[in-house]
Amino acid sequence: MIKGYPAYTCFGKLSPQDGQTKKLLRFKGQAAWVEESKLEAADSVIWGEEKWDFSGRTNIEDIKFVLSYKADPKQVFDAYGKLSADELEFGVRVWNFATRRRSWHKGSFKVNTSGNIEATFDSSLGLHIRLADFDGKIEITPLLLTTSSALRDSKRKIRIQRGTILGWADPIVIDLQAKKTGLGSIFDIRWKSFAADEGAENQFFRVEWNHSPILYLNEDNQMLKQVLMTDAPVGRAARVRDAINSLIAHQVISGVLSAALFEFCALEENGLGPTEIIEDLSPQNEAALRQWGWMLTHRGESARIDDIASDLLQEIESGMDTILAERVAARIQQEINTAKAVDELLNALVEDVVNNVED
Amino acid sequence: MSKIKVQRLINADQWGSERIANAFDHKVAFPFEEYPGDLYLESFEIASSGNRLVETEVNLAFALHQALLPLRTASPNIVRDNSFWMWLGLDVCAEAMIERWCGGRKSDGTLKTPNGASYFVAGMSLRAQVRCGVKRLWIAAETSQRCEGDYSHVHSLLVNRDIFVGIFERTCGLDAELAVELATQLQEITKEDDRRRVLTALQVVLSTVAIELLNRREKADLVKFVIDEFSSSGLKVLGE
Repeated sequence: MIKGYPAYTCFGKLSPQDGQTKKLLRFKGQAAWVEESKLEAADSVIWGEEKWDFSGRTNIEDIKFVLSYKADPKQVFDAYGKLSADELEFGVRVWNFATRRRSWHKGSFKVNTSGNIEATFDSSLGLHIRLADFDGKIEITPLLLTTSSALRDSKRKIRIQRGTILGWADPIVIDLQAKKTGLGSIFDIRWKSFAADEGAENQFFRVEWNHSPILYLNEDNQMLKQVLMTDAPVGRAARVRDAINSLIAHQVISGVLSAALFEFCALEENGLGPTEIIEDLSPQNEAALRQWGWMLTHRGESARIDDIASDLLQEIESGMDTILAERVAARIQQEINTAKAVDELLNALVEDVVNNVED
Repeated sequence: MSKIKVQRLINADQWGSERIANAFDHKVAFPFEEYPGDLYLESFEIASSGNRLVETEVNLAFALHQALLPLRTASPNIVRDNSFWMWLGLDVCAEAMIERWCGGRKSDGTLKTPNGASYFVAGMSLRAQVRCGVKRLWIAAETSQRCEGDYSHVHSLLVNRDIFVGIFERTCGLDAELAVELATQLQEITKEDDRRRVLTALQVVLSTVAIELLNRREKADLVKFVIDEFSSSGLKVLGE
């Protein structure tokens, strides 16, 4: 994962070419490939912008895709001089921790008449992704590299080595986890600039609550992005990341559970029973109750939505106020272990204070 | 030990070391019906400390990797099944793992240091893989095989636990040639702090270089460059 600008290179991000990306999948037992646009509604949510979500799906055999990017090479030419095609290589880097794979797959590129680089990666030419051969998450990062071992950065006055990353695009994550947890179980989580969204400049996350819920994180805050995307299992960055994640999760889960309860109560007032209510709920509210509704009842089986609905009907008889104002806050803290995240953050703060005193 | 029990053990937070330790009471034969194939692995001893520790670990790593070859041919995906690794630790290699990570047993049969039982848990993250007692041995053998086609580097990968964890908890450990170069060259550095500084610096350098494009020689040079620049009296700007 590239976090922020690589320290030693002069280039920047590769921009996806609108309308040029192709994504296809093949269902088990079928020979034909199905394009993204031909999928039924329930399956069309698989293909997000930066996340391809196959979690919990067992009926898909393999996938293939074509990725297309463009970049203005002015910066790289300013730094390294005019580069020939022999000195560059475009492709994708594939990481999959579960299978301990780390590999490079070459694509193709050309410099068009206006001087821009156009790069394409076609997975059918060398990267066969049979989903059963992977597990967890596959990270695919498009990269433009130098193949020259004698490239010199005239701006920073340093020599850069073969394999140095000159351009990159945000990685695509293929999620194959059998069971999703946390916000990722419902939301497609995307980084996006909020600069153009009126009234959103000061927000660091934003929820789009419809049949395909999206949680947007503010890409303009690069420090936030670096912290939230860190893989560190321990240490200061991990503590801050966990605390911020808790903060976001609290607000988001509270909000969507309230929305789900609101619709649940409205349907209940129409005299519907638990099964009918679940059937009539909007897909996003049903998903929220399915994922987190058990927090409100703590009875029956956590995985059974009909049990949850039945128990909720009893609970709301004693009033929604208590559920929303007291129980939601308390149970979310329990569920996502907020206390631990806050404790660790406070411990880090205390360590800093002690170190400063000692210094 | 039934497969269901093994799967439940995957969530260490829920179970905790003591309950994992108690799981040794129930042993059954190979419980993975979905993976055709057989596993033949003789019981091995591992020394809990001292000079024989590395030697016995290397022997077990070799035997384990060899034993898994036919099973992997029949069922390639078995090596990414966490419950398989946990079963190996809790059943086939139980006594060796108890000796290595739990300091052996007391006279009443209980574990001397039950906290070490966390090494029987397997997971999907790099950190969890490295902290699984059996899988770490397989990772060492597999890395040596992928790099050289033999087991000649298993000793250098396992000889220093700090170096092993430092390499394989990071993404650089996914590249067999780089892992071997690191294990070899880091042993030249005597101070632990220096080694950690080098690994931190390497991660920063690797955020700008795709090692997948480099050949063995270039990877060795890259490691040497980072060691020269960032160890000992070199720059102290990273990891501080």
